[in-house]
Amino acid sequence: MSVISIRIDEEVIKELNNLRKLKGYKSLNEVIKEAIKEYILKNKSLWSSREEVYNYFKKKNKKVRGLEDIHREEEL
Amino acid sequence: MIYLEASALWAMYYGEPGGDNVIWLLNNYECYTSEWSILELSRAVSKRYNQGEITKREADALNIFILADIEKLTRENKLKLTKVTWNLIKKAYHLIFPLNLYASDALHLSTALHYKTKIMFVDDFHFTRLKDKIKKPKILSITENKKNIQKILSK
Repeated sequence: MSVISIRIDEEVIKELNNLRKLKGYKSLNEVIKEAIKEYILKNKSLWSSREEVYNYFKKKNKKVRGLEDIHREEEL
Repeated sequence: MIYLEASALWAMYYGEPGGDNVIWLLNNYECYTSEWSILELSRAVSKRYNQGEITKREADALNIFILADIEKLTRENKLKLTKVTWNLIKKAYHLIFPLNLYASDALHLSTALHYKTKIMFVDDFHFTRLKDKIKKPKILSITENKKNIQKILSK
């Protein structure tokens, strides 16, 4: 794991601290890491919520399929 | 306690019938699944890619999304991930022959039994395969009518 330093405005820190308390995070470190993950997901992923991903593939998939063929493939 | 078998979670991420019920369950009840489900979900993505159902970009994005979303669900206490322990493996081991189960099904069942799950949700295929073999916990298909699910869960 790498360590980076960033400068953040006091007002933003205050807001982050409020969110930390509200969401029950132990430290600001956790909040910031969480925000970075969300940022990456938002910008790299094709979807931003599970409703979106569900509807995306629902529309795309005509056939009704589950995990059955995967189990069949890996059956001893 | 509600246990979501991997096929139930997959239905949610892959737009399968009943996937909308799984979204609803996660938003309204505390749900459990085995850590093992995560690997089954990843395998399901690979399989869909191998079969040409989804593009490389979709497969990559779905893999990233699923892992991040499972982490988010656990952080929000909507989904508890249970550990795959030696104790559960041993219990599963002894379920395979008498019930003629697949290895994954046995692990999910042993986990659900260990945590005294009331209901285990599965997709339609698993429901057909398991409903007559397993008396406890109650096996329910995710395609079951939402009102019926609510009724059963309120008992």
